[in-house]
Amino acid sequence: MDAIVVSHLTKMFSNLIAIDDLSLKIEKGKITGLIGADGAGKTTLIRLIVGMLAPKNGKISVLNLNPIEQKAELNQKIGYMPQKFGLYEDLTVLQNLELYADLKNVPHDFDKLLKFTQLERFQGRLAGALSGGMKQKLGLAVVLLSSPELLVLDEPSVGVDPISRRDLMQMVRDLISPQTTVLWSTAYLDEAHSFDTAIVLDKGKVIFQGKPTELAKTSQEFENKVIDLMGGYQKKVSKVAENYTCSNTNNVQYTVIAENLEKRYGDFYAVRNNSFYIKKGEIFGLLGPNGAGKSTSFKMMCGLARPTSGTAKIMGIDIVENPEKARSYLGYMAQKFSLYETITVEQNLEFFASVYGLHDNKLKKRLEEIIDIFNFKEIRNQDTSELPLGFKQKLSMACALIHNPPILFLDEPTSGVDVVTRREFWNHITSLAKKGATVLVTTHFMDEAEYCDRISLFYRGEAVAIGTPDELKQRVGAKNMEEAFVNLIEESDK
Amino acid sequence: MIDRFKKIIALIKKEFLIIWKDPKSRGIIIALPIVQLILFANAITMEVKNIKVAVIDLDKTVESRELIAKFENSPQFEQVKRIDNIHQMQKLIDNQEIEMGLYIQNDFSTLIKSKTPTDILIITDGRQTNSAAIIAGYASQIIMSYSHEVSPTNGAVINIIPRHWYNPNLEYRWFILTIIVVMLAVIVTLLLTALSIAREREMGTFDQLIVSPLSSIDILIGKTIPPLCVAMVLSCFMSFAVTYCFGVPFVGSVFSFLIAMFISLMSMVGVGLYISSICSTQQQAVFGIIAFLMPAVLLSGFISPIEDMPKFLQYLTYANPIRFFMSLAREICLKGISTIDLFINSVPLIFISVVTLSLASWSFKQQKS
Repeated sequence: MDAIVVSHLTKMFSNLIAIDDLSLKIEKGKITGLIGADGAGKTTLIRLIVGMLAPKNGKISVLNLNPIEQKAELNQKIGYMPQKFGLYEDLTVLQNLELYADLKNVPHDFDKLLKFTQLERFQGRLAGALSGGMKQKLGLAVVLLSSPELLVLDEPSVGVDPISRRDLMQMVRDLISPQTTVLWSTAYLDEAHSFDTAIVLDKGKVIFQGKPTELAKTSQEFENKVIDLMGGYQKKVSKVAENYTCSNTNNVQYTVIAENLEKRYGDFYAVRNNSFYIKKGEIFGLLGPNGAGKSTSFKMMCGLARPTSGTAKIMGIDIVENPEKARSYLGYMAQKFSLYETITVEQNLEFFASVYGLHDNKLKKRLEEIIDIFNFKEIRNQDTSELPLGFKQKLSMACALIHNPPILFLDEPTSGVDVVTRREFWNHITSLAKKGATVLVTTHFMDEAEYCDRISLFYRGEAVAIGTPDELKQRVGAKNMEEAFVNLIEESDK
Repeated sequence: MIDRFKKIIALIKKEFLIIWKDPKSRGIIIALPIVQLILFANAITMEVKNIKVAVIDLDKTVESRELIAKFENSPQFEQVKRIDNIHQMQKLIDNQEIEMGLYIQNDFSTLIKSKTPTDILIITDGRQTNSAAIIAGYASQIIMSYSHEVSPTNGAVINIIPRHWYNPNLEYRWFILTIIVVMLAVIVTLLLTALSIAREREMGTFDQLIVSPLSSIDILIGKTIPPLCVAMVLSCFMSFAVTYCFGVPFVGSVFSFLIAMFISLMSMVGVGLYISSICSTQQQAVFGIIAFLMPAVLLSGFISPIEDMPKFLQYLTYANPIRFFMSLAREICLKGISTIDLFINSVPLIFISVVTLSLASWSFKQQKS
C-alpha cells in the first residue's frame, strides 16, 4: 500500500522549474525522510502534496485522494507542520492547544501530549515566550492532536538544539500509530539516516530513493554519500579567506573578552557569570539548548543588549563605554536573515560597505571584489527577497565581511542551510581564522562544533563546560560531540 | 567628520530606495494624496445644496404661491413638492425623502393683508443636526426677504449685510482643501516614519544597524531626512494642485509657506519616529498612529473651534502639533501671515520636534539595554 503516489509531476514558478517530471511512491506506515539542497524543491513538493499548490502537469494521489479537488476531505486526515508553524504567540500553550483542538473538532485531552512535550510546567506561558525548541514541540503537538493518517513535517528541527531534536523524534515515534505515514523533510542527515526510507531531491528530480542503511552504514558515511549524490563537494581554497586581510591594529592578547557577563530580568538570571577570553585567530563556539542564554550572551557581546553587570571587550574596547568604536571591529551575522529584502544584492552590499566607512573609489573596488569572491555576478541586480535561503546566508556573510573586520560574530550562520553549503561555509570560517580572524559562533549542528577551537557549553544561563571539543568529549567519555552535549547537560541537571 | 557625513548619506540613500521600492509606501506617497484630494474636494462639503422640500399650503392664495415660488427659484432648493396633510409630511421626513417641510396656515394671506404678524412653520430633520440648522437658516432668509417685500413700511428695518473676509462667498471648499493638504501631509509623514523603524525591527535589520558603527544620532538623522523630503515635496505639490485646480487663493508668501511647512512637518516626523521607536511591529505602529491622530485631529480646531472647548482642553491643544500646523497653513493660504505670527505659531512646533526627536533617539539607546 502506498500513502502517496506522484507521477510525472511538474511545477513551475514563472520561468523557474521547481519540480521537474517527478515520480515517486511513499509507502504507508513508514517514516520517509526528504533531503536535498536549498532550492531542490522540497518545500514545493510538500506543498503540492498537502494541496496548497496546484501542479502544472502530472498527478498526485494522497491517501487515494486528489489534494486539490478533495482538499477538505484530505485535511481531516493529514497533519501538516510548515517551516514556520502558525502558533498564536499571544496565547498561552494551553490556549493554543484548546484553539486548535476546537478547530479540528477533537476533545480537550492534552495530558499525554503535554507530558510527552514536557510542556506541562509551561501550560500557562505565552507561546511567544517559549524557546525555539519548545515552540517546535508545541507545534508538533498541535499537529498530532487529531491523530492524522499522514504526518507531513517541513524541516521541524531547524534552529532546534540536539536535545529538543531528540525529543521531537521521540514524540513522533511514540505518538503515531503503526499505520501512520510520515513525510519528514530535514537538513540533518543523521535524522534522515534513522528513517525507514530516504528520498534525495536535486533540481526538482528524485536522485535517490531507498533505505538509508543500504546507502551507508553510519550516518557520517551517509552524509558523504548524499553529498556525492548531490554533485559532490570539493574542498577548495577559500577565496573569501584569500582576499581577507585582518585589519588588526591593536596589539591585544585577547581580542574578545567577556568578564562576568550577567543579564537579569527581575529575579530571573538569563545569563550569569559568563566569562571567556578569545585569542586572535581562534574559533570559539557557544553551544547549548534553546533558551539557555546563548543568544542573550551573544547580544550583550555585540552591544544589542546591555549587561546587568560585567563587561564585554572587543579589541580591548569596552562595548558599553565606546560602542561605536568597538562595533567598527565587528562583522555580525544575525540568526535570522536580516538584510533589506526589498532592495537588490548590490544595494545591500553598498549600503553596509558605506556604513562601515568605505566610500567612493574604495567602495567601488571593494564591491566588485566581494561580488567576485562570492560569485554574486548573476544575482547582483536581483531583489534579495527572491533569493534561496543558502544565497541569503552567503549574502549575510558577505555583508559581515565587507569591511574586513578582525572579529566575526556569527549567530547560527548555517541554520536551515543544506549540507553542501554548510561545508562551504565552514571552509570559509576555518580559513578566515587561519588568517587571523577571531570568530565567535553559535550552532546547533554538533558536527560543526568539531571545527571550533574551543567551546563553551551553556545551560540555564551558565557556562557548564569550557574546553576544546576533545576535552569535552573526554570529560564524559563520549565518542562524538552530540553525545558529549547530551551527557554534559544531563550531568549538570543532577 | 566627512566620514560620518558620508555614512549618513548612505543611510538616507538606502531609506529613499526602500520607500520607493516598496509598493505599499509608494501607494502611501502617490495614490493616497491624489485620491483623497479628489474625494474631499468633491464629496465632503458642509454646504447644503439640492434641498428637497414638501409644502402644505392651506392658504392657496397669490401670497402663499409667491412665497413658494421664492423657494423654487432659490439655488439651494431643488424640488418643492405639494402635499395635503401633516401625516404625509411625517412619512416623507421619516423616509428622508425630503429635508424640510413648510406649513402655511389658511389665514396666511388674510393676516398679511391686514398687516398682522403671522407664522410659518418650518420642519427640518433634526437627526442631521448640522444640515437642519443650515437649511433652517436658508429658509428664514427667504421668508425674511419675502416679508420685506410684502410690508416694506414695517418700521425701521435693519438689514444685515454679512461680508466673509478671506473667503467672501464662504466657499466651503477653500476651508476644507487647506485642511486636507495639512491632513494628508500629516498622515503621509506619520505613516512613513512610524512604519520605517517598526518594519526594520520586524525584519531584524534594525539590529544590524545598531551593531554597525552608526550612532543613535546618525540613525535618527538618516531616518528623519527622507520622510521630511518626501512630505515637503508632496505638500508643495498638493498646495499647487489646490490653488491651480480647485481655485483656492494663495495669498501669503511662498517663502513663509515653505518655512511653516518645514517646521510643521519636522514636528510630525518627530511624533512618527517616537511612535515607531516604542513599537516592535508595524501593526503596533499603525495603532500608535491612530491613537495619536484621533484626539490630535479633534483638538486641532478642524472639527470644532478651539475657543469653544472647555478651558483645560484648550490648554491641551498647545501640545498638539496639528493645531499649529493647520492654523499656519490656513492663515498663509487664505490671509497671508506676518513674521511675528509665523514665529508665534512655530515656537511650539519646534519645541514639540525637539522633544519627540530626543525621545526617539533616547529609546534607540534603550533598545540596546
